[in-house]
Amino acid sequence: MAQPETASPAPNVLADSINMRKIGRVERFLGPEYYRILRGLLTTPASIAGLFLITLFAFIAIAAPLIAPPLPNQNPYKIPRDGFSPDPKPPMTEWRRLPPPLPFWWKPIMGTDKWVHLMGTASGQWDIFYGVIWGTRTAFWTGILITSVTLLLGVLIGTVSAYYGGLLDNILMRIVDVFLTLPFIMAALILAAVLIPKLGRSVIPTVIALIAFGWMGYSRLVRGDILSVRERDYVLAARVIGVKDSRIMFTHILPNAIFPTLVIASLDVGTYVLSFAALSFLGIGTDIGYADWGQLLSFARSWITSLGTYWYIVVWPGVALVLYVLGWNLLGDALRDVLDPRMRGRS
Amino acid sequence: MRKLFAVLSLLIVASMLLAACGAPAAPQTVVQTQIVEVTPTAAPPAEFKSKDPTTLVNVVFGEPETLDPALDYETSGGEIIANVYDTLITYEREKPTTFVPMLALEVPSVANGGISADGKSVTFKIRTGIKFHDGADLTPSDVAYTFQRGVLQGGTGSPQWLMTEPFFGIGVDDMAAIVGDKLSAKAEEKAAALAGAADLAAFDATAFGTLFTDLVTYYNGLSGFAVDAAATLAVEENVTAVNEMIAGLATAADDAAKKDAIKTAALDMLFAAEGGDAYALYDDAAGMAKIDPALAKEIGEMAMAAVVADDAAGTVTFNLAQAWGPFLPTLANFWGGIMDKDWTIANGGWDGDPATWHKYYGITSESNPFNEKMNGTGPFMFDHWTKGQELVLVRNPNYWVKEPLFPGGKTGPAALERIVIKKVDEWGTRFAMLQAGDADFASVNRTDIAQVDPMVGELCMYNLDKNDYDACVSSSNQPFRLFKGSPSVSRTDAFMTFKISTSEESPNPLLGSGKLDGNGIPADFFSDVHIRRAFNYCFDWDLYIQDALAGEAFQSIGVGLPGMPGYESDGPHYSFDADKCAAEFKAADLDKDGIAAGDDPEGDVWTTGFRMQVAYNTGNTVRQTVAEILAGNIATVNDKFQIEIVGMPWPTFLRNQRAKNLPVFFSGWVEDIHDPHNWYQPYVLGTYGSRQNLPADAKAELKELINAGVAEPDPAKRDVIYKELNQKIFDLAPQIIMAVATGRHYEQRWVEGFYSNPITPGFNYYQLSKK
Amino acid sequence: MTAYIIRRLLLLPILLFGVTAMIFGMLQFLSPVERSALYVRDIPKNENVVEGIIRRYGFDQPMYVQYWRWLVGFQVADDEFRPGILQGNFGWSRVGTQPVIDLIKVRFPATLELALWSVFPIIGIGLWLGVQAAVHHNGWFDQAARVFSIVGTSFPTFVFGLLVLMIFYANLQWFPPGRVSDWVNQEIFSGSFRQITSLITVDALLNGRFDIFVDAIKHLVLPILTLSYINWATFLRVTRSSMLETLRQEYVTTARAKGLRESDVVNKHARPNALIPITTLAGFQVVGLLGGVVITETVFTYPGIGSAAAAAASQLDVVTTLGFALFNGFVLILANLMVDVIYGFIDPRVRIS
Repeated sequence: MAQPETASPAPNVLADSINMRKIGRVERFLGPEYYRILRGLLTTPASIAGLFLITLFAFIAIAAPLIAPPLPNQNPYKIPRDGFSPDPKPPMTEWRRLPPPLPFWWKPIMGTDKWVHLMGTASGQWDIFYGVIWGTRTAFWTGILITSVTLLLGVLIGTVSAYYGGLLDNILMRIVDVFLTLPFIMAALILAAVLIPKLGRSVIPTVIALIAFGWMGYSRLVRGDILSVRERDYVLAARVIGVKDSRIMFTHILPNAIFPTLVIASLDVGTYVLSFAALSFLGIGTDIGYADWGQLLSFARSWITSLGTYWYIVVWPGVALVLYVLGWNLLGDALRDVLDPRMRGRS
Repeated sequence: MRKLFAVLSLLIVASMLLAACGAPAAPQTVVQTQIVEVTPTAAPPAEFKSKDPTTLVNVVFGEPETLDPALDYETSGGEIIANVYDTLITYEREKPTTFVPMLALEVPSVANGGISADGKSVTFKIRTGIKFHDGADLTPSDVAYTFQRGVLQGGTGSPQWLMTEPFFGIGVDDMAAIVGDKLSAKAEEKAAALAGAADLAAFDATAFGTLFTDLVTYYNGLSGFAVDAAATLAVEENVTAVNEMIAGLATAADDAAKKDAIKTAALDMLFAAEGGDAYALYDDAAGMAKIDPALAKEIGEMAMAAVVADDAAGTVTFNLAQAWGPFLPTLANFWGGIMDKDWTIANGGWDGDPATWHKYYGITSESNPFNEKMNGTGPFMFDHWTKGQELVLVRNPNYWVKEPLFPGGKTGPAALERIVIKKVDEWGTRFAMLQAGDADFASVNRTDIAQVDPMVGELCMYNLDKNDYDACVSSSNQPFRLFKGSPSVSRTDAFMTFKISTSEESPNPLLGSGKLDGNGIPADFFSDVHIRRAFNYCFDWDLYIQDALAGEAFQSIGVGLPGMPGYESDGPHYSFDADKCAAEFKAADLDKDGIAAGDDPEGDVWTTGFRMQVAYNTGNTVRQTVAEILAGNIATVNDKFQIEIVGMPWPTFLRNQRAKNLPVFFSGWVEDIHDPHNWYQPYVLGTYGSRQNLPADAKAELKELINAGVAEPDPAKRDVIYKELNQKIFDLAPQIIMAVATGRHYEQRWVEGFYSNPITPGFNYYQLSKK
Repeated sequence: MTAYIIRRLLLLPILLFGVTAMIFGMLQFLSPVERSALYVRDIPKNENVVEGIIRRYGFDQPMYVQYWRWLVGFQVADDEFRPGILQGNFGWSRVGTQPVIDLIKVRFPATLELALWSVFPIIGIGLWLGVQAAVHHNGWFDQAARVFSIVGTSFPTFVFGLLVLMIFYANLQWFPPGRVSDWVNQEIFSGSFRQITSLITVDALLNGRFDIFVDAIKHLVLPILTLSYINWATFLRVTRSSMLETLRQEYVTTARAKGLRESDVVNKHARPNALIPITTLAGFQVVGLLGGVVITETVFTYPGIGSAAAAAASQLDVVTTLGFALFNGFVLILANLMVDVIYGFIDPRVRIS
């Protein structure tokens, strides 16, 4: 066989003919599916905006003590107040009594060491700037806490229900139905109203109430996904060779079924601030003065119709809350778009 | 292109918010609360015309509980009742203590023979020719029936306790009290008889059992209770009690003492079985319906004897248990609205028979037939009430008033054809309705006045000297008129509990450690007068009035209100003084070693400090502010004094308050009648005095003065009595008496005829008109 | 089909028992005095008020006794029996100061009316946005519509509601709050306006009163606008993805290949099939609206069932809350059943058995 005169063009021919894509290092590391998701997120403008907003808020939450230092020996989640008057004060009004420590960045920028109400005060003289900054922390920690507990509950119940089926499944699903009978906000309202006399007025009763009525969606979702995975061949195979139930469940079924639920759930982190705001509006919220956007907004409730003068007490917490939720929603919308199996293979 | 939309997403949010709030270009630095203070000359006369001058719309956040004048005890319902039902006498326009005849021909007095010399009999001559809305004639029997039905229907949530006291004696706050007393007396009689007949020689546990069973059977027949004799005897403590009694019998001096011991033991066990108190029938409609009919008749006749009508002579006579200074004011308010006897009976009310009243006792708004049915003689007739939405009154075209009730008053049918009272909970919505001109009146909370003030074009200031508004001053073409500065008849005060509840098993968390160790307070913390005075000196009235009440209030000197007997603007009172506060803390002696805390080498409150929690009911920002001011000032006096402020939801607050768990509690008293008795009685003896655990000796001393004050008809002598009371209460310092706020009323400028009488609920729509 | 309906209806008592037992269970947390707080507004003037209330309502009884009494009634006195829920007595609403059943009767038509009218813009415009977004997939309309609708879901309802109230009522005076104007109310109560369905818009048309119809619609505009804006995003997303999937189906490609106009392809071929999964979502939406929209109702003083229920719940008015829960459960089951049946009719692939 004669030596070819030139190097074989075969691979190139193949690449040319089927238009092969280059696989980068990142893609190799993540695998094609995750790579596709990541690429989807990083190329959709809406999701970029969402990611940007969430990152920004995360930064504010982490740096809260630096941006708005709390009063010494005080619960930092308690918004400092400057008197008791019901009339809001406009932005840049000076602190009259008991100002919290000056943040490090104030003097270099403004050249003065007089601390002011940067965003004004709400009715009752609560400092809006402080509330907005520390409210970011509240938004994150309550969101993460509620999401993780509801997710855990939901996954547990959904998994048990799907795997064992039969009577147990029936009972559990009826319980889910019962929990879904009342509208979410009503149910949470009732439970919080009952818990508050026992636990005191704080974030806790609200969090418990939102958890108690928030898990049902996840358990239904997980149950549905498990039911479809359960019938796959490899699960049957595992069962045939006598692997224990719990092992099948946790090592074979769950990891394959849980992924969509996880993604949906992670995006709900952002929506709980809306529930908090709704409950605050209905008079069942955190303790007065706790740094929570919903509460700040409900302080503003009576002033919304006079926005021309008192715009600041609505706009600052309102913008913070809307942008935060918007961030999660934009990301969520993009993620759903990318994850939607029906969208697979499209640009 | 796509990048654009990333930016767009952010822009949309921002623009949504900004566009919506009407482009808040530059932050305005001054809140425009001062706008009302403008010179009177500036404004050109403007025409203010309403869309519909025949209908007046009032948007409010409250709603009546019931429209039965005998049962309703709150202002939303009171306003409706006062406009639909007429009373015997009424107030002379804005004056809360001057009366003019309404359904009566004249205001009774000793001079005109209406009030007897001993003050115990009050007679009204009733006007003739007045018709109820359904066309029936008003007769003296209707008047008598109204008041008889009121007291007999009773109920602790009703205003009837204001009537039962003058009718049946001081301290009688409900028919259940009388029933309870009668039941005890009769049981006692029976027990004495049974014990008297007992054979002492053969007396043992079995004999006692028989005696007790007899007593229980008798009592059950009387009271309608079902006390089980066998079960009561079997209770362990009672078995012990019986054994002790038998042992005691052996040592008793004579037969009489023995019989007495038997009787006492039997009665003790009977009342223990029945719930421990003779008042167990309070509000117990089912229980009251079961009492012995003979007993019921006896009590019913008592009530009917208290108010007697003479249709032939056209008079009604009230026979009081004792002279009662504030009796006329009690009749003038809305619970004195006269109902038609026949109509009431026909619609399911008490039938007027003294033997059947107990079947109607303690009725609530749930089953009351007059909850939303009205038939009065007043200027307006009830049209409809859609619960939670609106209540509508229409003009009575045949209103009887031909001569003005007071100078300048209206005659004939009302000018307004319809009154629409809309329930709108959201302030923003109420405000929007005002702005749109759809509401003529609107409830405005003090916290919201800064928003409304810029739209005020006419200001009417209250003049405290002449107790009425000065002439209104127009300053601009803004659409609202503001009436400002009229004193209210309510006050929020702080009350200190002398003996705070706590126990080993369930320590009261509000007391911290419960000991004087710097980390709590002992249960008798406020028993020390110096501590109470120190708290008084540490309260900053000025800050409270400025910040919580927008500067529209004045410090109250003494328990009563300005203008009442005993009130003097330079009377004994506390004011903010940190040094005196510290001095009083140093003078306290909480470890009771006889050495003042400031000098105590072993340590006392001044050196160890204390920590406690002060609670307010959430949603009440005024009370929260009061607590924060007090806590802040006390902490500045000594940084070892820590007071934490806790917001409690109303149910928790109520539970703790009833259990006497709260070291300090805040409450607002709204007077029922403009009379000092309506303040001193609850503050010392009733509502607050008992919740504060006021010591019995202090109470007894003050009670004498209070009872003397209420029975005294001569204002000058009353003045002396209440001044003495003021001094004693100042020395005792059981509460921090705070400030009387002044009120505001906003209205559209096309409304005419508004005046404010502090004691009447809501508005007198009869005197109003619209352009 | 019948078997399925019966099976669903059998679920009803289970659900209703479950939800009422759950509410009673929550009440275990409260002491008798705390429950009596509903009946007292401030520290009572008369010392014996609270004890009287506890005695009258039996708050000191064990919870199961209270539940049983609520369920089957009890003998208040020898000659007086207070019926329970099984005898059809929903009890007395303290917050509404009327029997619970009356409260529901007054409030539900308003809620139903709002729900019926809101469904059109929410679903109609939501669908339209979704279809257009899918047709212009990743184009500017797609992006803008998605961002626009997501901003809506990100707003707290009361902030958006009060904003539109300020603009369209306080400033422009176009759309007033409430259900009807006062003059309409006057006609209703004077009897000259015959109430047939209690839905004012429908009654107005039946009475031939176009002015009243317009008035009622004017009052509905702002609540509908608020409800629509916060709900569009969900519809847009589901419609869009369903539509996108359908547009990829071979029959659509075939239709295109046949040379049909694009608008015909979208409107006649793709859209009808894409809308099938939306039915479920629309069903959920209607059920949700029928349960009352608490915050929207409060802001616009719209006398629906949601605001009354929320007031009852936050003040711990147990009887009222239970009444609403029962009613809501009932509506929920029936509405879901209807959705399932409709679904079976429009999607031949689904056969309910």
